[in-house]
Amino acid sequence: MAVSNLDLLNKFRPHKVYKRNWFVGLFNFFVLAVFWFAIIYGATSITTILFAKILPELLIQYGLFPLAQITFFLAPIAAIMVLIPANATFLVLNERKILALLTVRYGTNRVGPDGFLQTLADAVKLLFKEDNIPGGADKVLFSLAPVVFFAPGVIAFIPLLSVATGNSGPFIMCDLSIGILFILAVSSIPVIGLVLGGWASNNKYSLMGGLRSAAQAISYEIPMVLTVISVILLTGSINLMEINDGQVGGILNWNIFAFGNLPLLLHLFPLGTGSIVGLYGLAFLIISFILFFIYIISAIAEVNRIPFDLPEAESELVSGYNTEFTGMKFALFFLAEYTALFIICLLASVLFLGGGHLPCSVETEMAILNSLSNAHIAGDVYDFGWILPSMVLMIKAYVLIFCSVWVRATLPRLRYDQLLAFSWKYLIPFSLVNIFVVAILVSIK
Amino acid sequence: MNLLTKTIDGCYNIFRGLFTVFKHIARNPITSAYPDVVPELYPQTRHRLALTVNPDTGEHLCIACKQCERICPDTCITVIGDPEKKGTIKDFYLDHGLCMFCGLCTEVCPTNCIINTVDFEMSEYTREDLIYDIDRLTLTQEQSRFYFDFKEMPKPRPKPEKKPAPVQTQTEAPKPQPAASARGGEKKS
Repeated sequence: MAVSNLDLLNKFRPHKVYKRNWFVGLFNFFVLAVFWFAIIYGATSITTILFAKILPELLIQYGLFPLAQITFFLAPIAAIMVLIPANATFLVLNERKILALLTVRYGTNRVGPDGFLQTLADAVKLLFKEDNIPGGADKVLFSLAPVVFFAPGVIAFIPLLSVATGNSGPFIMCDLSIGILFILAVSSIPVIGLVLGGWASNNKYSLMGGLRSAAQAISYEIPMVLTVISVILLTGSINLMEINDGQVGGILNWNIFAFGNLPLLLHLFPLGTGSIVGLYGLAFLIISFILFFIYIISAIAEVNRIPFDLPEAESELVSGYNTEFTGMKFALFFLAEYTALFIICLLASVLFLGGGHLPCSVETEMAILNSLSNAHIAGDVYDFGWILPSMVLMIKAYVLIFCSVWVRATLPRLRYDQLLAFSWKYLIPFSLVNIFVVAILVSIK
Repeated sequence: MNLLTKTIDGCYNIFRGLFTVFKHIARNPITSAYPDVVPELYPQTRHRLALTVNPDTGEHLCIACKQCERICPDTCITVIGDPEKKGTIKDFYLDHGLCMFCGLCTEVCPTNCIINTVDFEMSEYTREDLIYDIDRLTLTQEQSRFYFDFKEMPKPRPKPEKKPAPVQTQTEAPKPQPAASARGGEKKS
């Protein structure tokens, strides 16, 4: 006690200057994105190579041919299982960083350099947390709910992998001929997980959240599916790879710009005999924009994001369906939520924004692809052709995710009756009319 | 038609809101990173109380006049003067758990001895640790000099060496003793 422990804050304290301006913030965000993309790509490709090449060769050496085949065919699932956690950790961090930028804050900057490892620390914490099951909860369903919520996300990824890698290596078997239908069918299962979790945790808030999510998912699934049906009508295929390849060659060939009918607009300009054809193209353009926006709105509602996050409205229900979940179960819920968002954004970029194709001419893209797929490294020829489409698709998806975070930073949550009324009174009739118009337009052709 | 105008109006407003939020990306953060950066506090901020010494001679400035003890609304100050020598302090107890940082004691102090510092981090594990004695309250010479400059207080002159009338000290000496002990007893219980 003899020593006076008063320190003069302004004078004797180490004064670390921490003034960030917005440019440094954006630059840090860019560095963060590159860093995490490297982690995601590195982990996923190492796993894929391990499962598709190294392990089968080892097994063949020991004469275990069926096992080698099984490991080869398991490669896409292994890749997804690595991709999803790595990607979700980045998605959470990405979202928090963007929100900090948009709401004029410093954001995550505690763990690691400028908060780069924050979500990694969160994940480690969640994994080591006690797995607590509340008294009165239905133990079986309580444990089953996160799995039911998470597993469809993994399965729904499969057709997207073929698009993302351009049908190379072991991913060629992911190219399902019913891609979109598969994704839509599988991604409607997670609602059961939410309702199960809400019911099994024996908590009024969880139950409310589960019920809300059921109603919301049913209401918003319909406009989403109707828009996707319109897209199927317009592109004439339910194979994601075909839809993807139909948009090759420049930004104007993307589906959001009139589904490849943009040149028809040229007939409009000398108004006269050909203007009917031009109007036809204009109708396509308007329809495609409307389709895109309906899809985005209903997709955001489908994955329970703000402003449609009524199942986990933290100002009304404590945390909605995942109030009682801790530890790994909560982590699974969290993971599945962000994976659903990622899948939705990937699907949007495949259906409307040109998928894995660069916004440039076919020749340039083919040149890049050729140089990548015949890469000479240390005397051997490697096929890195999968990098280009996956990178392009990733970036497009992340742009859409940025938009969803941007919407989150802007709009307040809807009231429950507004939410349902918006779907049933406006979106569904509107998309029904839309599909009718699309059918007429397609049949005129 | 009403529906159409409403839709267009709503879309316009939503996009305007989105644009407004987007503009905020190009702004510097307005929150402060507190543990890393200590906020720049003003001289008039009222935080932890402390006793200054004469920055030139290192002499304690308290003259044990007990005006701060008398004016304190929370009765958190206990001044114990030296019974042998008038005008010098023997002990000084200040309970920061009771203090409400009104700053009345600093206003009333004739020698600018008790001041509000800019140190606001004084969390402790027990309440008893918040009762500061004279050793923890008294600033060093360097710190006192800083505060005299910071708050632009007049520099104290050195104390006069001799005090006349030693009779008064003897008469007044017994008085503070019971009061101080009573106060001290209250605090500990």
